[in-house]
Amino acid sequence: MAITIRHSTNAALQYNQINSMAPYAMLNTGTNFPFLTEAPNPRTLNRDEQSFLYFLSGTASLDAVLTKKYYDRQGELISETGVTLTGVGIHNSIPINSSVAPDGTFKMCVSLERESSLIPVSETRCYILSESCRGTQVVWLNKLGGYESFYFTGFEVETKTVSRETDIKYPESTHYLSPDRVYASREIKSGKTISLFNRCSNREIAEWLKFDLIDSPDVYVIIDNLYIPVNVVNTSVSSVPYVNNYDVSFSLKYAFDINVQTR
Amino acid sequence: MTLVITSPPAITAAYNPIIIVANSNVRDDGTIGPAAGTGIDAVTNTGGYATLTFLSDHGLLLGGYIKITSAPGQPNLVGIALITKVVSTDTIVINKPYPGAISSAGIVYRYISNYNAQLSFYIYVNSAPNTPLLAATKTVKPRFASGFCLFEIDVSGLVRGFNYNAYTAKDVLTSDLYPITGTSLHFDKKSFVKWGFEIIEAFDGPIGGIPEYQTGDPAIIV
Repeated sequence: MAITIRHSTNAALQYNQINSMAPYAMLNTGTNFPFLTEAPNPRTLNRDEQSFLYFLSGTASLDAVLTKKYYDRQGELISETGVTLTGVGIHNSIPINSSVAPDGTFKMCVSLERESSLIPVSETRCYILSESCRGTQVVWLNKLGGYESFYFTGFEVETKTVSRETDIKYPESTHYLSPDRVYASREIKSGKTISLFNRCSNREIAEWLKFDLIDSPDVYVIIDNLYIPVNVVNTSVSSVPYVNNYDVSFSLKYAFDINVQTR
Repeated sequence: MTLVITSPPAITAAYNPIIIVANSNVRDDGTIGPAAGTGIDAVTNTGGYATLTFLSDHGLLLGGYIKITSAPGQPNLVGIALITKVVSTDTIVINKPYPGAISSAGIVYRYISNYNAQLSFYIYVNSAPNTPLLAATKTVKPRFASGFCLFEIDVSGLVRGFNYNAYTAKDVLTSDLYPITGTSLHFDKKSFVKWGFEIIEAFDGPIGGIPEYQTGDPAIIV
């Protein structure tokens, strides 16, 4: 009996969904397939942010061109680029950043279009480019099996927790020059927690962060272009009265101990 | 016996149940097909064991099981029995004591003893992208629906134990986090499992084929 090949991706659909990724698997028939993201559309993209758009392909010969369109503040098209996709597999990623955005870009829109007919293969995802003199980027695995990113622009607060276990008591001795050590701990564990803050101008972004980031099993903070693994330990979203802003805060514990000497 | 298999979709989420459903034509009481030999014509005595003579060809096999659902006048004959001898195309000996003659035609069905299904789960890895590698086997007992047996197998646990790039990794469906900078597209790295399956039925007793007839004195196997 010939075995039919099937694929299962790193996704967790919710209880009101049938277990099929077919709606996301882009084909050469059909249009407007969604990317593997549940982020609000449009969303902000910091100029220093290195983000991604993940997608599934149901065919190895996907007829698609990656199209990026750049608009100015008045909504006028500044420029447009197209890259033909070759070698597409099941699980794929498009890097999203503003590194090649022309001067004056206010909004960037990304989509896949059929090369032969320019019919949209995928949905169009748009990014409002924002500036911030500082911030911390967080990357996490979402429920659809793609990675998301967000740039927290508030000041981060780093706290350190040390736990000392297994007390040791040394023999007491009299010493008149300097005291001898009598008490110590055999095991010392030191960990760091980073708290990140952001003021969101709309509720969708705040809710997206609250429900997507907090559930993720794979979260990273980007520091000096390195992925630092962290675990979410706390989150809060609060609205700011009269301003219609939402303050979001996350506490992320580094997923490793700081190296310390032990006795 | 036949299974009608409903496969999961071509692309599924590994962290949700991935259900394979196989509907069987074995009834929920373990019987299959029409009444054997159109019914029992007579019950006679062979060395203290019941000999069943059918109204027509029974098509039963030595070592197989039957379920006698009706034996008018002889309620002790009703139940499951092992075929210890196939005398002819219309006569068998079973491992039940001879209870006496029946008063009218009885009914017998072929019985599937210890009915189960065996799933073979295959994966494909990037070093053997077109070669199925047997990763696990699983034996499942049926549940019952609408009077028939039904096998329902969730393979999501098996799927999550593997991934396309590093299939020996256990309990890991590797994440697929790509380099942070640059503009290069990234295609088809990991983060998915490429898999397939087969299901076969299994049971106690002989499999299919032509009945084997015995001659001479019955050698009763109890």
